[in-house]
Amino acid sequence: MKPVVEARNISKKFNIGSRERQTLFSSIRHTLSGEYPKVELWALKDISLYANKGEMIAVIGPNGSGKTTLFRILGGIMSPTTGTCDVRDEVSCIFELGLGFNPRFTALENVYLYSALHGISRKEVDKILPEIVDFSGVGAFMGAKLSEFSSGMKARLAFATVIQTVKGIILIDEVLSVGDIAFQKKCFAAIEKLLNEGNTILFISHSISGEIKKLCRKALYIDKGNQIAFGNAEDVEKLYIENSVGK
Amino acid sequence: MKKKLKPLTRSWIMMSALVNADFKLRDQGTFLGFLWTLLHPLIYFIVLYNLFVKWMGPQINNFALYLIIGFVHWNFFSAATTASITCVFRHENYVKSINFPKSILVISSALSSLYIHLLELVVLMVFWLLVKGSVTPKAVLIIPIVILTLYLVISLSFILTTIGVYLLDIARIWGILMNVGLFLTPIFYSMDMLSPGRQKIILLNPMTHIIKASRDILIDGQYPAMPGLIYVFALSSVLLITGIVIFRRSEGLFVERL
Repeated sequence: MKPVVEARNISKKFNIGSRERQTLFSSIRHTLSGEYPKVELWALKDISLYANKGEMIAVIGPNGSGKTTLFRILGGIMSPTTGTCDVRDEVSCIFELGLGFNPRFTALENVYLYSALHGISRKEVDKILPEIVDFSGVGAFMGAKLSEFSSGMKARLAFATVIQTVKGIILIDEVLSVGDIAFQKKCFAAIEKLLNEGNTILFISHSISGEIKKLCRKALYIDKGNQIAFGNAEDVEKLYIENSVGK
Repeated sequence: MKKKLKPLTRSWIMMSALVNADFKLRDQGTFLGFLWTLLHPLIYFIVLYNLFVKWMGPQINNFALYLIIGFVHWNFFSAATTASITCVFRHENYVKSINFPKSILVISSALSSLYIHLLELVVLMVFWLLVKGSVTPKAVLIIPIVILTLYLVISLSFILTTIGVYLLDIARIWGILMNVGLFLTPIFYSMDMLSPGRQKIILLNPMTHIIKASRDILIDGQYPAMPGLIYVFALSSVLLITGIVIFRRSEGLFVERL
């Protein structure tokens, strides 16, 4: 069977400086003078990875190594400058916990809104609503405005909504570490269930810790846009830790 | 077939949620909150009416109705196109975090403004009933006029949204144009007060025809003149094609501009 995610030699170039929006006058000036404030930055260089259906893969690396850019490309939000990226299933992106959550809406309204952003109708949400409420542990406060929630409650509600609505290839950007120990345990069980149901998970992290280790067999290590290693999770993490501490 | 329809349904779900949230946030979703939205055109109406009723009143049949029809339509056009400029920035988080057709942002922004416009039209119709004292079935013709205005707004919005992502001060420029446009549209004066040469300029403005058509329907109880409306339709179609071409070429790069 073909892998569900197959990225071959992905590179991404940003033009720093031109990225900023210009005013009418400055753009006329730059066009006339021919000079354009431009610094090239290769955020990713020659990255290749693949993921089979039902696998969980960690992407590790220091800050600014291009992890989020890589995920944006895999998620179809950006296109690579060179290289190809084949994604053979529905993609769910979780880059920001509580995306679109608005403090002026009630928790329930926020759940509907969040789901709608991912193309899930009210009717479908209603079917899974009890599970979301149960998972988040927010219970009786579903009718309360989100501004009245503690940050922990908000995060749990967001995570509960996300985990119940995603499917296919799931890209997670550093949002796995929310909640207390009990909640973490629930998250772990939910992730295990997602994997057993044939979903594929790719996540960004700084370490592959605790229970996740049991599920995550492969890892990609990138630094400053370069691919350092891709393979067995334990070996790759070891290398990452050695490199980080060595510095 | 079912698979092909799915992205459309998804887009629809997302779009209606955005329009809904926008509306709720604007006025807290309450009726009294909506009065704030109405206040802006109302104040304009009161000021303009009192300023001009002495000059225009004797020359324009039913000046109060004439003025309010012009102003409600202009207000929609101006508010909707202005909102479209920033629609990508208002939803920056979504653009950065999920993959979806960005045209949803353009259309939902226009529909949010339409929502307000429809409420203003309801108030306009009440006012119309009070002034006219009778109902004509021809009033339903206002519906195609509203649809045509929306078509014009959406067509222009694709162009404005795209420029808005690249050019910081288009919002300022458009603001000035809208202020000038308020005077270059026969809202509180009538066309025949102008010299023929100036009339030609005013006739290039698509809103002139839309407002005239609404007045023909609501004040004079007549069918609107078709040539003007056909001009608006043709102009909008050209704008739409241009807009979609430049929008599609650049929408993938929006995320790198935020």
